[in-house]
This record gives sequence, C-alpha cells and structure tokens, in this order.
Amino acid sequence: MNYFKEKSRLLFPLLLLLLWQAVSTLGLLPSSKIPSPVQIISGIKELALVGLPSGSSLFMHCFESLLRVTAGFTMAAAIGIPLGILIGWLRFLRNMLTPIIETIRPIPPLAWIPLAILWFGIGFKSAAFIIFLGCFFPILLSTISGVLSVDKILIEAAKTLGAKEKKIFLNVLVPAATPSIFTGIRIGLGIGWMTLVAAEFTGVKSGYGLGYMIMVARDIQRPDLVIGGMATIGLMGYLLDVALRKLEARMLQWR
Amino acid sequence: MFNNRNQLSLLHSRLFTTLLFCLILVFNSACSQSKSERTKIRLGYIQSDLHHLPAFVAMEKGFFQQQGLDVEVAGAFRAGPELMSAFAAQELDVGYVGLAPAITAVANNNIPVRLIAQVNTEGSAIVVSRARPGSSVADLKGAMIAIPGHATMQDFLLRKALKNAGIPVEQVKILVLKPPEMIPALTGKDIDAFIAWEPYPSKALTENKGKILLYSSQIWPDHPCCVIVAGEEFLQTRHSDVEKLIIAHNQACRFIKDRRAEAIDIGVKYTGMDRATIETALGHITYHGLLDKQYTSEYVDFLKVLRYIKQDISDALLAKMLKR
Repeated sequence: MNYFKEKSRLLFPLLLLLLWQAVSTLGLLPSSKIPSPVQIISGIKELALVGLPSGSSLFMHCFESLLRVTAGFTMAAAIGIPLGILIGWLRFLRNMLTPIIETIRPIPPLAWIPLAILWFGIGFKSAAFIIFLGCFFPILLSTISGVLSVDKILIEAAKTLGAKEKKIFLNVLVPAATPSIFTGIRIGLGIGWMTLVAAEFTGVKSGYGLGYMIMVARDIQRPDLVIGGMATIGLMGYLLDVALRKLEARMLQWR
Repeated sequence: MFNNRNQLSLLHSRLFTTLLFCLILVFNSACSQSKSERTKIRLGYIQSDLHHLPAFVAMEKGFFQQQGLDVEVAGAFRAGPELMSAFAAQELDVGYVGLAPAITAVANNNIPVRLIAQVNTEGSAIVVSRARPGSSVADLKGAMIAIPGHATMQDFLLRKALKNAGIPVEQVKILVLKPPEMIPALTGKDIDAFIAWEPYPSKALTENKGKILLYSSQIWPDHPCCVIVAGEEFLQTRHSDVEKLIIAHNQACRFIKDRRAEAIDIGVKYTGMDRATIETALGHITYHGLLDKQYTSEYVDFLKVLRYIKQDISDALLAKMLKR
C-alpha cells in the first residue's frame, strides 16, 4: 500500500512533465519562451559537465550557494529564535520592538542591496546579509507566536508544582514553542533560497553561485540553463526541507 | 447557498459587469493593436546608455517624424537580454542594443531579428583606482577586475587587452558587476579595476575616483559595439520604413558630430549624468551606421570559443543577419 502511495505521488509530476514535453514537441510552446523538459535536462547536463561560464561547474555553484544560504540562515536562527522567545515571554519587550519589526519586515531584500554593498562590501558578507534578512522575520515571528500560544494551564501547573521562573522558561515554555519554531525555521530556510538570486546580485567574488549562474545564463539568453538553475535551487531547497522535517520528527517525538 | 433572490440577482449583475469589462478590455486591446500595426513603430533602447544617443537625438530633434515615421518608445530596458526577450514576445519592431545580446539571442534562442545598422564603435575603457601604481595592462597581474557581464564586448576587450600584454587571463580575478556599482566598488577597494562602457569610465575620471588605463580604441580600433536590430517580420513587411529609420539614425549620428553642445544637452537629459562627464565620454565614442561583417565575425568567434553560443553562427547565417 505504502509502495503504491509513493508511486502515485510521483505519478502526477511525471504526467505533467510528459504533457509539457508533448506540447513542446507538437510546437505549441516555442522553445525560445519555454524550453521542453528534454532541453532543460540536457541544459542541466551541460551545466554539470561543461559549466557556466565554461569551466565553472554546477557542483561548485551549488556548494558556494549552500555556504551563503547556511551562513545567512544560521545567523537568522541564532538571533531570531532567542529574540523571539524573549519577545514572546516579556510583554514590555514585545510592546517596544513590535512597531520596529513590523516596519522593517515588509521591506523586500532586493531593496537592501545598495546598503548591503555599502556596509559589507562586495561578496560573501553582503550576500549572507541579504539571505539573513529573508530568513530572519519568518523565524522571529513564528517563535513569538509559538511562545504566545503556549497553553497557560501548562505554566500555571508548573508554578503550582513549585517550579521556578527559569525552570518554567527552559522546561515548559521553550519545548512547548518548539513546533512553531520549527515551522518558522522551515519557512525561513525556504525564503532564504528565494532571496539567493537577489543576494548574488551583490557581486560574487569567487565566480560561483546558483543565482550568479542564472544571471550569466540570462545574459547569454539561454532559458534552458535559466530553468536548469531554477530547478537546481528548487531541488536543493526541497532536500533541505525534507532533512529539516526528519530532524523535527526526531526532536519532537514527545508530541 | 444563497439566502434570497436579491443575493442571487446581485451575483448575476456582478458577473455580467465583470464579463462586460473583460470584453471591452479585449476589444480595446485588439483595436489598439490593429492600429499600432498600421502606423506605429515600436522602439526599445537601454536606459541611461550614452551609446544609444542617436536614438535620443532622433526623438528629441524629430528626425523620425521628418521621415514620416511614427515611432513610439515601447520600452526603456535595464539590460540587453530583456530587450531581446521583448523581441521574442513580439513587443518590439526595432531596438538599440549591444552586439552581444543581439548575437546570443539569434544563436541561442533563435529570435528572428536582423542587424540593420551600427549605432557606435569604440566607447569603452579600462579604469583603475587612482592609488594603484603602474600605467600599463601588464600591471593588472593579480588584480580584481570587474566586467559588466560574461560574453559582453567589455569581457572580450579585457581578454584581448590581457592577451596583447602577454598576461594569461588566469592571472587576474574577474568579477561581474553592473556598471553603476563599479565606481563605488573601486573607491571601496572591493575591486582594483573595471572595464565598462561610457559614460562610466568618464564619470570615474571627472569625479577623480579612477584613472583610465586604456581606451577600447587602443585595444581594438574601430571595434563594433551597439547595433540597431529589427524583427524579421517587420523588416519584410515594412522595408521602406526600415530604410527611412536608418536615414534618421544616420542624421542623428551626424548631428552628434556637428552640433556637439546640443548633443551633450540631450545626453545629460537621458542619462542623468553631469555635463563634464558626458562631454568627456562623447570624445571616446564614434557614432556611425555602418556595420562591419569582418569585425562582427571576430566577435562571434570569441563567443564560440568560450562556448557562450550553443549554435554555430556560420558565415552564411551572419551574412543573413547583416542583410536588410
């Protein structure tokens, strides 16, 4: 039964790809606008074997982007989770910081590019900062909401049992907010990948990066390579999300 | 689902209004399209690009109108690839664009366009920071150099300059930056040098933020740069209008040469840069409409060797692209 379920999950995307290929082969979709799946796969093969620019392989582009996303995401989680717990726990901090957070939150990461270059120069730090901005707010807000939604009865019960404030904070509040924090982490990481292209707009000194590679493909007008790069970003984001979900299931076995 | 008849009739009337609105919209766009097909010529250019000054002059001085052409600006684009995409979407009839996006559009994407005239030759330069010692390309060994993009004419010119100086390209670090970000990167010491089209080198010079190492005319004299492209269908159906457009373009090129002060004013207006920068920059750009097949072919070879084009542009295809 499970085997069949797994197969049927793959069936729909496969059917879509077949339909897309059929429509392309019949000439209903011009390849200058949307290349066919076969053209995209051959584009990915070219990216892996020849590289873009020639000699810069897809593997190295993935590796450098992964480093940038990891740096930005780790910073966002390291600041966003503790800050979110504190904001959720302390009312005065919440009242003080909410207007600032809500003002900065809607600003698109793209708008920060000139400032990022000014503050951090060209390269890794600027890119990581842009990714940090993308990841930070979902993590922060989910953490705050996780803390706020902890059942008051749990806290009252702990108090009745004589638990001290520190113990309640660490043993009741944080574990109870963890599922929501994980949701924030997953959304944050997804948005981190979404800001990758914008982040690599700040200039790439190493000459590697998936966003950078997509821009080169755009410059030489190869939609097959552009979509190949997009598909790679999507796949890496998906794999990381699967890993996070596995980690979540493991850490939250008590649920 | 609905509480009463009133709600149902309200829904019907809203549906009807929406449908009517859509129909009007479709009818309106169909009408405007047929009208534009009859008379207007849809022109695209790159915003703030001084190389496209003949287009700005022809519009400002009414040279297109004098030829009986009704030219409308259908798009001022940020970069060449976007402009070429607009050709693929059949949103443009003619466009001022770099040779690189025009060639890659044909070779990589089969976009049906032809090159109908040259816009300018030369007009780029290698700029180094004022603090950097040395005054020749050989001194660039180990430097971090910004280019506006892979496969661009500036990419080619830099490689050619390095080759002429006997420096393998591996001995410098090449970084892609958009020209407006190059001067801040130079002053912020993120890069040691850059190569860009005018007016950015002149801006670095007039603002005293960089010095010119080499003008592109010294790297490859009379090298091609921007071109006018036209959609194949437009070329076939309105051939006489294309000829008139080229007459207006050549008139604008002559105007820039003969009436420099007025041309500078127009350059300032369209690029937003100061007069001194535009005046300096114009001294290093040559505007004329004559395409050179041999030079274009040399550039195509460069794109081929570095695998920037997937389909070989044969001599016959290039000749076809340059035939109007």
